[in-house]
Amino acid sequence: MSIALVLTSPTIRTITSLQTELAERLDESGPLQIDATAVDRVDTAGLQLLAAFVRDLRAEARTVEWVGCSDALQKAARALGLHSALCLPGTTEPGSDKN
Amino acid sequence: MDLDLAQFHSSFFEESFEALDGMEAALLGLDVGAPDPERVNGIFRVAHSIKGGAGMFGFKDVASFTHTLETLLDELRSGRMAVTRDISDKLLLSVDVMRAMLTSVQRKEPVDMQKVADLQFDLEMIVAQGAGGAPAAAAPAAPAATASPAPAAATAPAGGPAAEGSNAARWAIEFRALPELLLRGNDPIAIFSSLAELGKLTVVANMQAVPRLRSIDAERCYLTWTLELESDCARDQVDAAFEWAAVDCELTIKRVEAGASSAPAAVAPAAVVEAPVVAAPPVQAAVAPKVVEAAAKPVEAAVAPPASAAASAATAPDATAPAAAAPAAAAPAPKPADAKEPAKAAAGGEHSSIRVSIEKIDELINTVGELVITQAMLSELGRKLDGSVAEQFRSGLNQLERNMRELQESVMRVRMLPISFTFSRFPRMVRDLAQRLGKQIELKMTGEQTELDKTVLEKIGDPLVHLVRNSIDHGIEAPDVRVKAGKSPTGIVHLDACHRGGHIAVEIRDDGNGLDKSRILAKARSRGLVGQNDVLTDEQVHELIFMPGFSTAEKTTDVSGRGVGMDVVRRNVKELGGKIEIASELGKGSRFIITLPLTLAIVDGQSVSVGSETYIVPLTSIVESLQLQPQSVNRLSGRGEVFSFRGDYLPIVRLHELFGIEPRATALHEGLIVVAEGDGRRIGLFVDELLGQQQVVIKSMEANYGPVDGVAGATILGDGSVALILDLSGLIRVAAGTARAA
Repeated sequence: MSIALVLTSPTIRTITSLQTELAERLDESGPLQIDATAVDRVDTAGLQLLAAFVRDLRAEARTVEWVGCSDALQKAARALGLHSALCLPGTTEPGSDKN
Repeated sequence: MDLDLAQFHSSFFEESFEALDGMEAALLGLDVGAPDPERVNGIFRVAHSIKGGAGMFGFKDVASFTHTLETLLDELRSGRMAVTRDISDKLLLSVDVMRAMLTSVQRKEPVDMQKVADLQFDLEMIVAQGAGGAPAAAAPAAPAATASPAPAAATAPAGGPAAEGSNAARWAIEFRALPELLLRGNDPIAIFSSLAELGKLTVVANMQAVPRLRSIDAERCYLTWTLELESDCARDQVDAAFEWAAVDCELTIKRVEAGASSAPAAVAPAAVVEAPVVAAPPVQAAVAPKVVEAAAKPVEAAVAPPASAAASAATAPDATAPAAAAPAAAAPAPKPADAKEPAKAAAGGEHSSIRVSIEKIDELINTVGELVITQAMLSELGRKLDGSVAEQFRSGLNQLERNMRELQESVMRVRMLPISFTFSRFPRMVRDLAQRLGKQIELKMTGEQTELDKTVLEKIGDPLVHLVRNSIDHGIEAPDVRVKAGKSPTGIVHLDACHRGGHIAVEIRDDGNGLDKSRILAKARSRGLVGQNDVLTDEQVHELIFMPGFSTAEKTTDVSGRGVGMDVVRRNVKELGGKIEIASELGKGSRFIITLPLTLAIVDGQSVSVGSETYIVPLTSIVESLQLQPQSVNRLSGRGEVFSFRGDYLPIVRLHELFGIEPRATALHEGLIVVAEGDGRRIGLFVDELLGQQQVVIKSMEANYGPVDGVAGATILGDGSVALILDLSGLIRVAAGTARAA
């Protein structure tokens, strides 16, 4: 299993470096773990990129597992209607409590 | 939601301050008792968009305060509460408080929360009392609503923010972002969150247009959304959520009637919505402008043509409404002509103007100034050339000169702003002062569109405030006094601006009591400013009020009467290169006329030579030039040389002595005397000869060297040499100093 992708603040300010990093992750193989516990800020640009990333991963039959997801990310994803596109854990799952 | 939006703060502040100005103006025009619904709506929208922006940027105090304000405004615009004098005062106070809060936040200073909390409490009390007490004198905004027995009829179209899901109507919204949306700090997360406050929101994102990760332009929004909002809120509440993003998105908003939902109660609200449309034309009028507004937004117009916008706003698609549909649809046509909200139109995305920082413009002006100098140097050079090419060269230079002049004028115009920027503060001030002094005052303003250099405009604000304040405090009498004098109890203060021969004249006129010359004179005599037996002309009496510390007010109020003011007014006006005149008639009123230069960057000057140097004397200070006969000069001990000029004795200032230059002529009859004035005093400047008149670009001495007494600035002449521009007021002071020392 590859090393988990750790997200901090996927926003328009840091979007270019995030895009580069995600593109590198696309070149790997196997399932991918994403740790978004520390995400305190997120915006539409960040979520759009993540959603595209998750979609492209799945298109290559790779799976995504969120090992942690902060409230900020959950709320924003739900606000944008991207919760399922991101394969985020359901509201009942204590995703944000895990680490 | 914590978003990284710091780079958009400045435009938020700018727009908010502008919106507050608009809100203040709208509040001042609000008729207590029978407010114009569109005006109330406009005021509501300002509060709403500031709240939205403040929320988005995380300015919690501002957002919280504006939320309370918005609640009150919502009560007012829905007609549930009437606009009273007290409420209108509180709303004006709210504008002040919001301005102060935004200023503090902008400067990253602590907000004066006590003031905010006090007012917020008052606003909450008003809302609470309004909600529990009398239902607002039955909404004067919509007289037809009184005819309808159901008070809910008025409330329904505006809607409470908390809509009960089951029987609420639905709004179907298609939202597609344009490329710049995210870059401009408009985040759909914030937009959808504010929509969610209106009711139950379902968001479906469409990822079809999102390219593969590697080819995404990550700052662009590819996602599109279909939203469904279950809420009885008004169309403009939905619009307001998208207000900040309006120019950066394609938007369709359609209302789906509640009829489809299962709850039997659904019939009632639907009927309520129709009721005002069918039975009450005034209410429909209140709806119509919203339709217009929607249609006026270019973005929306592209998606939803006015007809369909009208249909969706008028709602009521069923059989009871056909009569209503026609007028509602017809309404938009005549309306756009008198669209009363320029701010709104601007927000609607007409890219007819851009914001540019003043530094950039000044840089541009400076560069153009340099160009003018270079062009003058070339012209100078061109005159010395001969040969066949020289002729062509000179004609090219002439063309260049013409173009330069045009360029310079255009660039200068960029700095020009209408004087309404300064005038706009007066309605509020006059209203507050009149209230405090128990006077009835009508403020008239004309010529607000007259344009003036921005710097002049900023510096003239305070003098004008002083003058208007004086007119209200000293000029206009109390209503009973006015009636006794056979005047209308309401006094008139008239502000007027106009172009007058290369200058701007700003006039403050009142129909008050006028200047009481005998009182001014008595006061001046008692203070020893004027000898007991001196006889003064009207002008000289008027001059007295410009003396520092002079006031005839019987008691000092916090408005005026301390005698600071008029001298400051005059000094400020003088510093701008302008002058102030007074005309007054006892019992009839006073006129204060301020004449100002159009710009501070260029001066019309007379170049004079002294020895090998050239000086520029501003044309506005020159009275006359003459050659003196030796016999007309007298020497006075301690005052140097004087000469007789039209019944006056004027001191002679030899520029070469003042500036330490070797002159060509030392005998007065060999050179010329330029009679010039400054600070109301005249002197004769002795120079070698007059050269020519020209417009010169002023270069600041302070910025490039340091302040020099008697010198207003410098300029570069065609031959590349530097010429000093004389400041006559300073020069007279310097000359008086040296004369005494001699």
